[in-house]
Amino acid sequence: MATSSTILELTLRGRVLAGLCAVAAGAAWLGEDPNARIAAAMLAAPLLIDLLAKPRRLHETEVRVGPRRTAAGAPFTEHLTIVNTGRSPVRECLLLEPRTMRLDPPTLIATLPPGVPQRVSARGRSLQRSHVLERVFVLVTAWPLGLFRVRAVIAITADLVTEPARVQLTANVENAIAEQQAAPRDRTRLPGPEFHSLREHQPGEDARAVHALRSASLGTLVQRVTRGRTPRTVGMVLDLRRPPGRQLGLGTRRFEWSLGAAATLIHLLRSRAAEVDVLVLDSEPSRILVRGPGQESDFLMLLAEASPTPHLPVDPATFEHLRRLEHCYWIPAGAFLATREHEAIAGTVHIIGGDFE
Amino acid sequence: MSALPASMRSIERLAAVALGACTVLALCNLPTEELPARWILCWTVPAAMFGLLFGYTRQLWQRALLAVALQGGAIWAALALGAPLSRPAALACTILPPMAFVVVRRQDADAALGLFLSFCVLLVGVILDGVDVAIIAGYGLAACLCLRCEAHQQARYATLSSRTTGAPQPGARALLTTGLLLTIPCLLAAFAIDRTLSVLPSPTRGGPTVSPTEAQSSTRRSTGLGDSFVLDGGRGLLANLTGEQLVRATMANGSPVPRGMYLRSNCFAVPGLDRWQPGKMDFRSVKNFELHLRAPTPLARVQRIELERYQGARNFTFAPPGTCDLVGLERTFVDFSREALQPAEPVRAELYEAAYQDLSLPGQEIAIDGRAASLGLLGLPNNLDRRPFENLLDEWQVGGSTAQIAERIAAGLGQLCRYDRQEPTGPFPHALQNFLFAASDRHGYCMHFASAAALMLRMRGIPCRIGVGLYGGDVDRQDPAARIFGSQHAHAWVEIPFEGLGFVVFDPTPAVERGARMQSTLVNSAEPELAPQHDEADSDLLANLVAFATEPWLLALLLAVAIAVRLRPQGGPREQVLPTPAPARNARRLLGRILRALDQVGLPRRRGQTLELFSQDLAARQCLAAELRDAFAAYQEVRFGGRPFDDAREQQMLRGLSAATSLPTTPPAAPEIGAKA
Repeated sequence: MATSSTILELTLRGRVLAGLCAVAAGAAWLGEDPNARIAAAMLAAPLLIDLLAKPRRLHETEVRVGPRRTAAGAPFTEHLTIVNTGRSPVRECLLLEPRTMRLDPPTLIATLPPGVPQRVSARGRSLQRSHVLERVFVLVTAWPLGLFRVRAVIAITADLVTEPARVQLTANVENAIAEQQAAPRDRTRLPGPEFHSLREHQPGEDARAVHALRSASLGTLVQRVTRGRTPRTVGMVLDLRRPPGRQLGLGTRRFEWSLGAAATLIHLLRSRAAEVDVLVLDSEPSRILVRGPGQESDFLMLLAEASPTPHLPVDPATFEHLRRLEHCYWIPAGAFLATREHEAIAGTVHIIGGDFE
Repeated sequence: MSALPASMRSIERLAAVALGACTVLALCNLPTEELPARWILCWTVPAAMFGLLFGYTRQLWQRALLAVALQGGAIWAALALGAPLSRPAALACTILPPMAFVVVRRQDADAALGLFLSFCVLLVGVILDGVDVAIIAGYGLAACLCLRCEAHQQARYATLSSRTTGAPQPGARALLTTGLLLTIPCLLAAFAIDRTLSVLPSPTRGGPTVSPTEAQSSTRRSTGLGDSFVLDGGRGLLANLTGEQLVRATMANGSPVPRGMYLRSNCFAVPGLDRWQPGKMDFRSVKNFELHLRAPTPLARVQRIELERYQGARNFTFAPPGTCDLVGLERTFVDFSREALQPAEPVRAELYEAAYQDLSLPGQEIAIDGRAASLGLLGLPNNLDRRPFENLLDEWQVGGSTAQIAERIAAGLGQLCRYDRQEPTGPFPHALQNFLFAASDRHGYCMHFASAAALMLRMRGIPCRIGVGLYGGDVDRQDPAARIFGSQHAHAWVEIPFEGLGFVVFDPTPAVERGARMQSTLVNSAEPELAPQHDEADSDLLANLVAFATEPWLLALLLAVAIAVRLRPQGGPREQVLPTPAPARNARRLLGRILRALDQVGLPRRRGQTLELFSQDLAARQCLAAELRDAFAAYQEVRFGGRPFDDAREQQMLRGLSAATSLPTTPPAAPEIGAKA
């Protein structure tokens, strides 16, 4: 838990000025030289005025922000409300959030009048997958002369969920289920691919795919784009276990990529109206049936909080509910390729990111 | 630059103007006698041109070529147009070119560097020519404005692309107003700090703690205007030319104070080629209100002069040479044989009266004081090569009576050397040798004239010493008959002891130059609070108030209070509001296990069904055991109520899990309620 505080520090220019002032004051004191005294006075005066003009208790500035859910590395615009609780206005204040504005410039607030809520927009991007309950903002001002800098650290309670960064999945992964599955009975009785979209017909393409009615109405040849059917329920096993004897801290990049792949795959499958039966293998295996946005959000929250776990053998009964599914994705995020456990699943198992071990 | 918004461009221009004003004011503060304008232009214009053309040259060799050409031209022009290289000029040619360059170029940190260099130049001007309040105030204004603009620009540049929120960004006019408003407290703070530093107890300051016995025994104590009479470096007495008021003099009979009035504060008897020292003093502490130094001579009439010491003269006692009696001094150290005075402790403003005789060098009929040899007034520096001095004396045909010898020496010095407020320069190791024997441009000021004359007098057997103090003064604007002496009137002369006359002044400095070259800031900048007020009670009250407001201890106290208020502890950190815990992962997992268990027994939670509706559904099916209800409640408290997932709630959920697993596998059918479409 970060503590809100205000730090008063000298800027580089202020440090140089203070050093020169100290030398001049020392010379004036030791040598009683009036010229050195004048120099010391002229150097110290702006330092003193800048010090006195600096806002006090800047950390008591109230910052309000709503919960934020974002993907790692994805830019977003945060809308904050800032209230200056002091008695005098705060001027030329830079606002930044170290966690999310590492790559983005801070926002300059020209004036913060006391007691008046002010809406501020700030660009940011959270680079690290995480779920934090507390957000830390930093207010910096060097007004008026830039010799001292006041840096206030303001910790507020606000959710920031950083989901795994989405990754680019290969076409094989995306179409693995669609091309092998039959259409579910409750959606169509016809075999074969499903209609997806229309596009312009290119010369040399198979003319059998031309959509006659749309071509006639539009006056140009329009091609039908189809794709394989998506089964109604797809299984997914997210294996967070590290291989036996491996350290938990290693394989971070693989782990993050795997979580990103899981997030991407969930989004893809959900966009195709599929239900995903997810089995998360960690210290305590859990099952999430992703049917709608709520479950999807819960699953992404789980991904945001996930971490590698030590290896534990899994009871084959855990995979019982996946046996009835015809297709299942297996994501070995912890880099443990459990070949024997794959056999516990009756359907086709497609391993994502399994080019190791 | 072109990508910047209009407000930023105007602020850029304002910052450039402020920095330029700083530079110009700093250059204006340089004394034109020692640094002529053409010399300054020689060093600044080429560098400024280089700064201007810097942006048009891309290659390093181009810049180097340009810099060499311009700087070579600067050196040629300086040597061709300027005076011979003096110390201030050497200092100027090292600082001025980089200052002009960075001020014109204005890249990155150039503004800060330019401000620093201009401050250095300003200080050089202060050291050489004293404080000009108008220039200092103008420089303070421009510097504040420059700092303000720089601080604003840094904040704007930190945001890149000038992305800002909130109120509109201040423009150049707003910054100008802020800069003006900041200047006033800055100048007041500078004044307060200066006054505070002036009263800090310095380890090098002598004075009030010295006991009379110590004063009598020690020959190293501080006496008068400094312990040493330094001829090279440090500029000796002239280093203190800050225009500080010291003494106000009025004649007791109301007549105008003579224009050529000398006021002695100290004397030096031990000679040196670079430094004279006071020598041994025989101070006695005198507490008498009336002090008799010597009997008056019938050769001159006794005049009475009233002297009012100001705060700056708290460590000095000034008296005219030829003083017989002093009235009004409270406690003073006196060396009667040397007619030397020293206040026993620093005094505040004090009025005292001196009875003195204005004596000139007498003719041959008056003998030299017989005590002169015992006072050490005939000594010469060790290892002194007398030959060149003797050659000069012979060349000037110095001889005859004391007065004739003195006149010949003064005339010879006037012909040989010229008066200049610069240190003598030349090939010799000692300042006095450079003053007298340099091949060309033999120059110096009163200290050098007095030292040379004193040594030559001693070589001719005439005892003498050097007196230092004040000379001339300025007419008081309030009272034309009075004169005010400041530290800019510091002067040095020679004193010769005569029998019955005491020490008589012989001033070898050319009469035209005595004080004439010293720029007096007293008349222009006379501070009304320090000038004596005798007319109206109101003005007295005002003067007292101003004097009280400028008391160093009061200003120091104000500074300390301001800093203490600013830096006082700000109390503990803000009260922390614990965040509402998000649904703990363990609670969610336990809930998931409960729901799975219910699913396995045929009680699945439907899509979009909230936990509350699900529990109602279970209750309708009569499957909602109390443990299950408590488990759901515990989860809801954790998830939405901000309660911690503690052991009690975990146990509740575990009991709910066991209750879910123990339910029969075929529950009775019930109407579906609560399911969303």
